[in-house]
Amino acid sequence: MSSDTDTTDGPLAGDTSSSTSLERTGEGHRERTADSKLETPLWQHPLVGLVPRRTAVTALILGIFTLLFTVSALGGVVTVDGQSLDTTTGLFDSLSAWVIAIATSLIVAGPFLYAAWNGGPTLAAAIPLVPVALGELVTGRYAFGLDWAIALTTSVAGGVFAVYVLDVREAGSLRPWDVSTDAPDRLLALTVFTLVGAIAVGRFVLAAPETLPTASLPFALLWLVPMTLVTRYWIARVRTHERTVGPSSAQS
Amino acid sequence: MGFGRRGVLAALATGVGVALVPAPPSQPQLGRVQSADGRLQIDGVDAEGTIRDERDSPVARYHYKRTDDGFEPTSPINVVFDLERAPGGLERVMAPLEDSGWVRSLEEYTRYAYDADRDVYVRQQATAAETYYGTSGRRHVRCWQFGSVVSMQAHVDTGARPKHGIESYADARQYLSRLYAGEGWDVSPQTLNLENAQEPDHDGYATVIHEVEA
Repeated sequence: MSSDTDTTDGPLAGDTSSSTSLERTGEGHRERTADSKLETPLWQHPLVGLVPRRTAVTALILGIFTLLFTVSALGGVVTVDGQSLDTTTGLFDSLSAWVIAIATSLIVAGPFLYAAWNGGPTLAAAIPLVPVALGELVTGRYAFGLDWAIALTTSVAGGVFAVYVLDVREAGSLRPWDVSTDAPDRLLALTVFTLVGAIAVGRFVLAAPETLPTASLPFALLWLVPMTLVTRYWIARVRTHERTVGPSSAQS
Repeated sequence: MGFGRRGVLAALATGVGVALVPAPPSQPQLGRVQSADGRLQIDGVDAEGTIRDERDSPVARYHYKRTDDGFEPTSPINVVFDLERAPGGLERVMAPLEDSGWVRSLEEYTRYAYDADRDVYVRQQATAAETYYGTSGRRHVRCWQFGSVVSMQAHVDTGARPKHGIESYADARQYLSRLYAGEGWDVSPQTLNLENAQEPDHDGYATVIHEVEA
């Protein structure tokens, strides 16, 4: 394992991580690290990201996107001497091209790249929803269009994949469910998230078949990722339960 | 499996989650487009449905992008609305799109149409699309109203890779014909010869939609 991976493994070990970092930082910091759980900012939580610097870079990217988005949106609204701002320079066309390109990257690839790079499932799941939510804010409507459907698809797939990535790093196995499955709350949360996403997207597909271009159809395959992973976690959970409790009491 | 109370909570959370996610917009009742009734009462349009002199007609033929050297046509006008009355006409044209869940603010380029009457290029007056970004493609229109005519450029965008291209002009024109026919408006397919044929699939004709006020 590279030293980089060793650092990223640190926060995963939960309680042991504070003792590990304690040894690394030395005696002088004992007082401060003793209650590190309370002091750790939310954005440094492993569910957000494994390496705080990478989490910060991701937040910066989202911030830059929000800025570009805002300037572009203002270009069509603000008027100068009765002229719409976007008629004063062709730069707004370039800006629109950038906003669309970045939004598309965030929606299509963002969750998966982030999950593989920095683990945190909540941020992985949030990344594709950020541009779509910004768009909804500007339009002032609250309706589920194709951009929503695709973003929610990659959000669920990327979020569940990020949980899997965390488990793989922790277990050191590509089949982490064989190593540890004792997280019923987490499994239920994943199941709820996947179900909500699947129902919302399914409802849209049934309601608006006329608005589905062919280019959107391959995204349906992405549902295999959360479906497979969640199912696999459930199977492992049931098996563990049968082993520990035994079949007779499981029936009661 | 020890999931009793948690299971109930999870089921509740699923219900709440589904309720919070926005619902799909109501879909338009797409109508059947009848054959043209031949009624064309647009200034500057002759009996053959051709505009002899652009300066005499409120119909726009292209939308333009601004360049360093002036204005350069980019896409052909392919739907033309003949309004019952001019005031508020543009908004009445946009209403069925809005009712179908199209967004009226969106990420798009700035385009212009030529207003022959005033001899100026005018920025898009109203636009709409199925989604804000069109990451995987979208139907998208830009509109201008000159007099009692609304000229619409309608197209289907390709997915962003990374920029939008034109997937089709004809599919968008066809879809909008059905959408406005569903609203009870009179649709005369491909009756106005704007002589603006263009790749990938525009034949140079605009479909004329005559407003029928409810």
